[in-house]
Amino acid sequence: MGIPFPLRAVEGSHLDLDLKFFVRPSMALGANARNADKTRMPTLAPTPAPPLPQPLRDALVERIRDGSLELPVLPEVASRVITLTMDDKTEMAQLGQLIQRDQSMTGHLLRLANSALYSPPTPIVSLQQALSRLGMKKVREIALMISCENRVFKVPGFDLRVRLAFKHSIAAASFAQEIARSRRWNVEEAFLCGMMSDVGRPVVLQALVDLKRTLDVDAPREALEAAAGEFHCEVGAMLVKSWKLPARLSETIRYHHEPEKAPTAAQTAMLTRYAADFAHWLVGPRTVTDAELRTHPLCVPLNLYPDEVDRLIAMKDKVKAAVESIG
Amino acid sequence: MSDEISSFDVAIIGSGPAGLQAAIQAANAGKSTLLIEQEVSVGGACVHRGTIPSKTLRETALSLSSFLQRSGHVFQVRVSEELQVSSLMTRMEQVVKAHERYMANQLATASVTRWHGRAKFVDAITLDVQSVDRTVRRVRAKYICIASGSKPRTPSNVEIDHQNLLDSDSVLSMLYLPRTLTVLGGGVIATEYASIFAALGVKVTLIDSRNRPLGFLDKELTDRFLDSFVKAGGTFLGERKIERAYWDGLASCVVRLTSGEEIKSDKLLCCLGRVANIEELAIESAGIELDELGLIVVDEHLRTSQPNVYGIGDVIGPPSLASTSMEQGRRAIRHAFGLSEIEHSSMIPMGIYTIPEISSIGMSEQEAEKKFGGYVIGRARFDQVARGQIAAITDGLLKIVADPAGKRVLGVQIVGEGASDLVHVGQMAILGKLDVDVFVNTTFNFPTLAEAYRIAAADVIRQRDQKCSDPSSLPVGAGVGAGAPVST
Repeated sequence: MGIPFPLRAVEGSHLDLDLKFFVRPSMALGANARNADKTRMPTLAPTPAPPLPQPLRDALVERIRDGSLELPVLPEVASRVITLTMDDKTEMAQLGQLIQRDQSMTGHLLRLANSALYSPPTPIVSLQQALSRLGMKKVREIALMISCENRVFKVPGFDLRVRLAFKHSIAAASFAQEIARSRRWNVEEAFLCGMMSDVGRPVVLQALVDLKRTLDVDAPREALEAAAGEFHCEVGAMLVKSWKLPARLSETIRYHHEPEKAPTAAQTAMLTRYAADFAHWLVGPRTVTDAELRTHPLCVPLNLYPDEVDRLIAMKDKVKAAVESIG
Repeated sequence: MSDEISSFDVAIIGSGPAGLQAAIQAANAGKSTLLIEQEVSVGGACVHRGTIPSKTLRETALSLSSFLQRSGHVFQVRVSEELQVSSLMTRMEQVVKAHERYMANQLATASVTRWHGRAKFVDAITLDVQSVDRTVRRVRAKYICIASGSKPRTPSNVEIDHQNLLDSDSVLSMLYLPRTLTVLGGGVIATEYASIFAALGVKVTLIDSRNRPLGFLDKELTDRFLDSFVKAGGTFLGERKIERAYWDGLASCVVRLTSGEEIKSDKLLCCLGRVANIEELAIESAGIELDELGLIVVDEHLRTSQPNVYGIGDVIGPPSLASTSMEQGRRAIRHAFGLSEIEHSSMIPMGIYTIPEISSIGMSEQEAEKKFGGYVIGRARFDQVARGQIAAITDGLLKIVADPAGKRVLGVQIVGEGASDLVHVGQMAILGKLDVDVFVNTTFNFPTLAEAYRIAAADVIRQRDQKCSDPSSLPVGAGVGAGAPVST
């Protein structure tokens, strides 16, 4: 299948999807295929970002290509938590001893376990209670979230922008799980895809800040942010791979802005992309309107009917509460 | 909405087995045919969420259990907790695609027009079809067939979230095999999934309100099924009533029973029946009558209370088998257009894809008793059959139900691998009105499981001969239930 103008993961170009890439021959039933052009989203006219100085761009691209880009290391405790939770012989007590050694991790785990995202029926007050209530897979999910928050979504000089990106990720995760629930796809996987979808953005930003200093090149903030948007899929996928998370997650992140290219995970890539647009609608940074969500070109390949999209839109307050409880 | 109104001889809502068969039948009869499907591709739940995917998973589970059995358990094989369920169904996409391709070709060859969207009745001859992209098209048809299938029933006391508490539409979305699974229900879907997951090493608890699962089947068959299920590590809790099933917020699915028991598991699968999938159809606009269960009421020609509207497949209720649905699709169209009826057997085999498989055709012992006042049963255990021993399929049982004289084959019931194929041999014997002797006087391939027919027939003949030589040797009500159940 030819790709005349591949989607670029550049801020402001998010909604410019060409529907026909997602319509398999078997899907081309009557009007859908015929009306593909009619349903194309109005493209937002992005304000062109100033270009990234060439030496900076070259250095970034080189580091991405040769794999020398510095990626945040998964904190040791989180890494061990993830390993332990993947081993079915692990006892909860063992996990408790490990987490207890890290005060920050303990505090974060309790905070997240009590947040609206997990809405426990009764408040969780101790680590033991949190572990026994959460179970291994949730603890792993939270360890990842904490690692992202502490290690990745922290770029000095871009604090507000990166904080917003973290909130955006939580919103994308929440909407992704609701879309999956509606389509009867895996809810947990969708959550993780949404949560990690933009993890590459702060990593690129940090890399550019460091390179700017090393190369002694000046560059406007907007140029750095635009470059973070441009390379976040590739770098996010690299990060997820380096953290030894499932290959399917890495593929989803790599292709969520160009799902038609995903070798095996086109469905989750589309879902993640649509969830990300819901997150923009809810918390930004880009402006997306209700109408744009309702006529989004991905509704067709995801087979989301108007009432299902309306139901997702009606979840605004619930998702907002989850985001606020964490952010 | 476009002002243009399309016109067809027949519009069919739903492209599962019933709708597809109806569409092809109508188009082949030269009628302009519209097939409306709300999902992206044709096939219905059968292809995308039901029969085909679950049977693909079953094949993997079966391969695993068969491998262990046939190798005499000398290999240590365990399914890792981290193994993704999707990787157990790697062939599924291939299987579904092949099926889709086949069906799409059939529809294209027959020149059936396909629309992707949700149909809604405007009146008894008019439908509005809303597409995902919000466009609405109107269509008028002389005849309309409702073949929109069924969907899982969600009782209010079972809090299904499609994440932890699943139904048969969402169960295959599980990424990882759970360590423990509770299955609610004792019907076909419940027992199929319970036995598949048990064979994959999941600790399964099957909970039902009746004292045994698959209560509509012969007890000997369900006893065999339960034996295998328990041997695979499953637990059956019968005569239990569910008070509430819910996710405890963070770690477990909880089933609270009215007995006070509480069952906890990683995941829960609710299979407490299915309901007609007619919610979106606005059938009240067409004045179509429903029964108290919400099923579409039809007459013997499958006509609804609106004579030009037909109901076929799961929307009209049991038996809800793909094979029956196809037949209903064919019959509805032939009746609508006054096409001559082709003589067709009403005898339908039942196949249940549990591990081991269960299948039956024709009369049960109870039905034979009612109709003939008695019967003779011939039994063959698969451990008596060479192929059963070779393939380590020794837990099977084949029963022939013969008339009280021990001559005519009335029914066949089988539990054991290959049952759903093996049953067709019996079906042909019943249709041909053959005597049991045909199985003894005919040469079958050796070694095959079909040999079980010969053994069971010989058992019937032995009892018949015994009855002839010494009528007093049989209990009062000669022939009734002759032959003691084979010990397990």
